Amino acid sequence: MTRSPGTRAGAPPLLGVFIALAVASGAGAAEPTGEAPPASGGQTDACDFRFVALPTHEGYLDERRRMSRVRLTLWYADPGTSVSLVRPYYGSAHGDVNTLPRPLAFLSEFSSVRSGAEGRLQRFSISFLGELELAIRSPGCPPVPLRCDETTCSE
Amino acid sequence: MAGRPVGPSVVGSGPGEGRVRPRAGRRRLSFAVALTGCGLAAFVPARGGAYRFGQIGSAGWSAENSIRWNASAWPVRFRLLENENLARQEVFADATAWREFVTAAFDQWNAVPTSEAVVELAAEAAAQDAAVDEDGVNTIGFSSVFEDEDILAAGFASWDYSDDGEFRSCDVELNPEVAQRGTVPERLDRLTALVLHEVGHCLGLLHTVVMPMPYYRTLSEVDLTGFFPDPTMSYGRDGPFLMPDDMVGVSLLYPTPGFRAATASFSGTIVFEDGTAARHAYVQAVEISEEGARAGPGAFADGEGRFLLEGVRPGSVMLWVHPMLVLSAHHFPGEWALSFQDQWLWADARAGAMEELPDIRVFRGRGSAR
Repeated sequence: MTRSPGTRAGAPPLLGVFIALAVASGAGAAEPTGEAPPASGGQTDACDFRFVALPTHEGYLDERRRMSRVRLTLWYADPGTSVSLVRPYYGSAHGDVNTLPRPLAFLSEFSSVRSGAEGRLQRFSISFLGELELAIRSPGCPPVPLRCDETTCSE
Repeated sequence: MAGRPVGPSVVGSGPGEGRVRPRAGRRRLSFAVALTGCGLAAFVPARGGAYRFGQIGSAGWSAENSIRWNASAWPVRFRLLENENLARQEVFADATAWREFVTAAFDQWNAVPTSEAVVELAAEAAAQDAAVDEDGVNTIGFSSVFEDEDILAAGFASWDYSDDGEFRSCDVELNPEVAQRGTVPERLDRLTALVLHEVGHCLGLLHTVVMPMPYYRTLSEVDLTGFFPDPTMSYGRDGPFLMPDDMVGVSLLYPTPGFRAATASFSGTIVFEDGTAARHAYVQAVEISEEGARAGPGAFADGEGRFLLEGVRPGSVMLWVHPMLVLSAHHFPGEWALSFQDQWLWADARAGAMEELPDIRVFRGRGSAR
């Protein structure tokens, strides 16, 4: 599994090239270079998926709350591949029995591209308050956790 | 079979907050029972998955097995209730203004390009005692029953339908107090949402659920797009306009020629890690195109975790699997605690195709602290 350290906001514009190479090769994810490489991973010999998470933006949800944003690129061969939102949620199931905690994460900037005969490339951005934790799963593979804060993503 | 009231919109900032008190002595008492735990379940067949529609029997999941108007019913005409309650609505100068307002809301449903449903206002009005009966006359208006019988609701619709699932009439009663708070635009928006919602019931739609992602208008400050306001039938924080989920719902019930052939369907089963069914989970389509993404239709899973999602626009689609987020409109005893992490996966929607998806595994631990 490819592992790399987290990154800071304002990562180099190398991501697009990296993704293009990774998908075109259908092989192991190239390790991005530069001062602030994005978190990436997901591939083992048996598991044909990989992802790149790149903090891209900081803004404000309202006057007080600062919001972080991550651009996630996910390539996979198995259509059963999924991403779970582990956190953040807000609200409590113990408060109002009529509600469950809701995601405190917002999705935007979707794109979906078929890549080769089997592969699929998904891109979307996740904005969140606090810390983001995802679990990326592909059938037959161990789940890969992905954690991001304001400036860094890491497995 | 007749007179099943459905979907009260309850007092609050929109059709989604508050409670309804039992109303004794008339058929609607059965609905009061519904609010204590089992009423809407009467619409849910043993294996049914299309909880967004009122279904008859357990013949199947599709919208085609749902309670609806006969194809020859169009236009379905409503009579405005004529009573003293309209005068309490300060936002309407007279009955003509109220008529124009209701007509504009009707026209939102009529404008759905993939639906053949047409609702109109009749020229003649109806007296208060014509509301909620089985006389075959459809009515809509500010009703006195809320005050007379101490009902804390913003409005409700009552169905009258035959044993074979065809509507005979529908009555919409609106609480005169619902539009008496806030600014005039706020009142009008709230009332529009309410009329849209109750007329949606009269077209055969039940409640869906709120979108998994909250809708914060302030997010425009951070230059984000792709947020999903809640559909009119979600019993949530909807706005005065129809959303794609509403339009797909009515189109599935009353499709224009070619609608079904032009859209995709997915079916599948949602299970937990241990293989047990994720009962009443919800699958929300997010339709992705070059123009961006939008919330498409959604569907409930049944008690066995099976779901049928119909009316998806062809192309790439993200399936957002999540628990029911607001349960006040859905009464599945013992099910409210169902909880799992939101999950995203993707599929290709092909026009006219019905695709059976592999089992979708979801994982507990929603909101777990770390």
